[in-house]
Amino acid sequence: MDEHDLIRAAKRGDVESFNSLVLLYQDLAFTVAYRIMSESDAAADATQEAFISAFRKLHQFRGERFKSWLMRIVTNACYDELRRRQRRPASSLEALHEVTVQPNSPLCDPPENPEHATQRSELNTAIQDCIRALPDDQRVIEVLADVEGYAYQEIVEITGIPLGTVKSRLSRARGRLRDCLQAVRELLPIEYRLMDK
Amino acid sequence: MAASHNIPSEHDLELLSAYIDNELPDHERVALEQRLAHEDVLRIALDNLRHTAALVRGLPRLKAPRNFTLDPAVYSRKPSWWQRLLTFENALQLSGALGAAASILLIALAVLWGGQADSDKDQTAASKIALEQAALPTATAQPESMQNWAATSTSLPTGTPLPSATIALSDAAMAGAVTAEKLHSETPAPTTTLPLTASPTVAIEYEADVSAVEEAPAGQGVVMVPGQPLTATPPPLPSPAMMTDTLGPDAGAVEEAEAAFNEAAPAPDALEVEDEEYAEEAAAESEFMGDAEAAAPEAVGIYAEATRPPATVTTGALSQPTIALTAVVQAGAIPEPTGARDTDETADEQAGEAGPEPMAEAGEAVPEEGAEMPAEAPPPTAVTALEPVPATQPQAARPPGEQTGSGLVSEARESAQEEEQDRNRWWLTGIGLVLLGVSSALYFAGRRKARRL
Repeated sequence: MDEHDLIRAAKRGDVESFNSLVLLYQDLAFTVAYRIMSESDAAADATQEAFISAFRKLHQFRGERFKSWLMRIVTNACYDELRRRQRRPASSLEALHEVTVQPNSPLCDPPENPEHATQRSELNTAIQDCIRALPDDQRVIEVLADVEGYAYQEIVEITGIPLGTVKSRLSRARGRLRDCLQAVRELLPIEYRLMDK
Repeated sequence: MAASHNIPSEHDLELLSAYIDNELPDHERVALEQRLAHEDVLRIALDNLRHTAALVRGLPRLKAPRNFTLDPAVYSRKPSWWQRLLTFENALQLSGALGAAASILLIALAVLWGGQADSDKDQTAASKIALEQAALPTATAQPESMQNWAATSTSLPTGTPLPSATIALSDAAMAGAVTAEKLHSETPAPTTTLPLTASPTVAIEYEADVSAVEEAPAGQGVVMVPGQPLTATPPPLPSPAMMTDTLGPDAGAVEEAEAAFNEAAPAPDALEVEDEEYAEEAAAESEFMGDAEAAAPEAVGIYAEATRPPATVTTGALSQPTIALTAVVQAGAIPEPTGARDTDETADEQAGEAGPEPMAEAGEAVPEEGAEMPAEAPPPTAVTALEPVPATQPQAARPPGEQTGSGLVSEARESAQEEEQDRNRWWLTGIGLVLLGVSSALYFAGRRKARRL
């Protein structure tokens, strides 16, 4: 069955069909959640909440792009979790042992030697740290625009933010990232090393 | 302007960010490209933004640490029955099934209708045959009923409206007692005026023969036996010729008297039937008339003439038979009609106003306008002249299977109704078949779609 049939069956209450959709989009949802939350467990919780919410609100889906609709739910779930954390700031013990989630091995370049793999891992961690340093509103836009590659109009649909606000938030987020990455320039590949201002 | 201090402004960064993503409008893009060609600071800022975006885009997609699938035991929700019913596939199947059921019902109705129509047709044919076969005993029984009626009409000129009922019901003779009942129900309520069963001519004849009737020996005229119905022999059905012969030279006077009666008497519009027994008798007489029409048209014509409604005026000349009838009623032989005496009195009054003077005593002659008829005229010439209709005539005159005009009309009407019923039945069957085909197609289409899912 294609995506439309799965969605139609899931609307009728077929959990198995919805689980097929979950398997289709769970990596994307978790990635977005992790880039926004910067914590694996929090991202997993947000992702799980997002899928449950999507299943319960599936009758509200009116035929637009399911991927955008699902990402909006994931983003809202991340927002909710971030607001909850801001109200009750706490540091978990697990965060002390937080290990950056490494990408799935098949996604990595197979011929890459261990030195390069380590450098890449450090670079990814540095970038993720810079993203985490962004304000929440800019971080979401930055993740959606540069990590996931959504167009401006799609970001408007997902976040419900006006287009001009999206543009300004994105430019500011990129400026902050540039400044952040300037601090770890030695980790960057030569071709990506930023020039001085 | 923005790069005056080697730091691009936020607006320039926004333009550069949108320029990287190709989200700038054409005119802004052209203007920015012109500035980029001349301003190095903007060009350096653009390169830095491109590298930053490229680094972020180079982040790998993460793999979910676990599956986020939902547990069907927890999250499975059964859709309500109407949700399942309203799905496209189920709606197709349901509509198909309902349509098929409706079409089968239509076809069954058409078949049952046809069977019912055939059964009715058979029953109608059987009843017709039975009626034709029954015509023989009816005609055989005719003389008896005719005799009864003749005796009644002869001896009870003012209180027996039966023959008039017979005339009124002659067209509906096939309908039998039902029609008679209908006629009875449509007949106005009984009034004080009861129709006279004999024509004025006959009445005058009665007047002339009143003494003779009273003195008539048994077997020649009216026989009044207390406790028994009146009988008359033979059944007096006078023909015009007979009447003329009977009246002889006084026929002109009789006609004048008849005209006077017609002027004086209010013509009754309807026959008043006293009760259902009357109606049944009338129906029987109607049936008899239908059979007798073919057998003895002349006699029936006389019969109709003799029972013509306008001749219901009771004059003084008829008071003597009325007296005789009263005597019979008092003796218990004949039930006294409601308002019979009143009728006589009313009629007498009416006749006194416009008609000839009533006779005070029986046997007196007709008033001066009319021809004088001797009170002691030879009895019952008219009575003896009336010959009963032979019992065998109707059977011989109308062979079996021959039908009257009303029968042909009703048969044509029935055949037209049957044709219309057949046409409707075939239409019903055709619609049912078409509906069945469409419904089946819908049902199987829905089933195929459901299987595909």
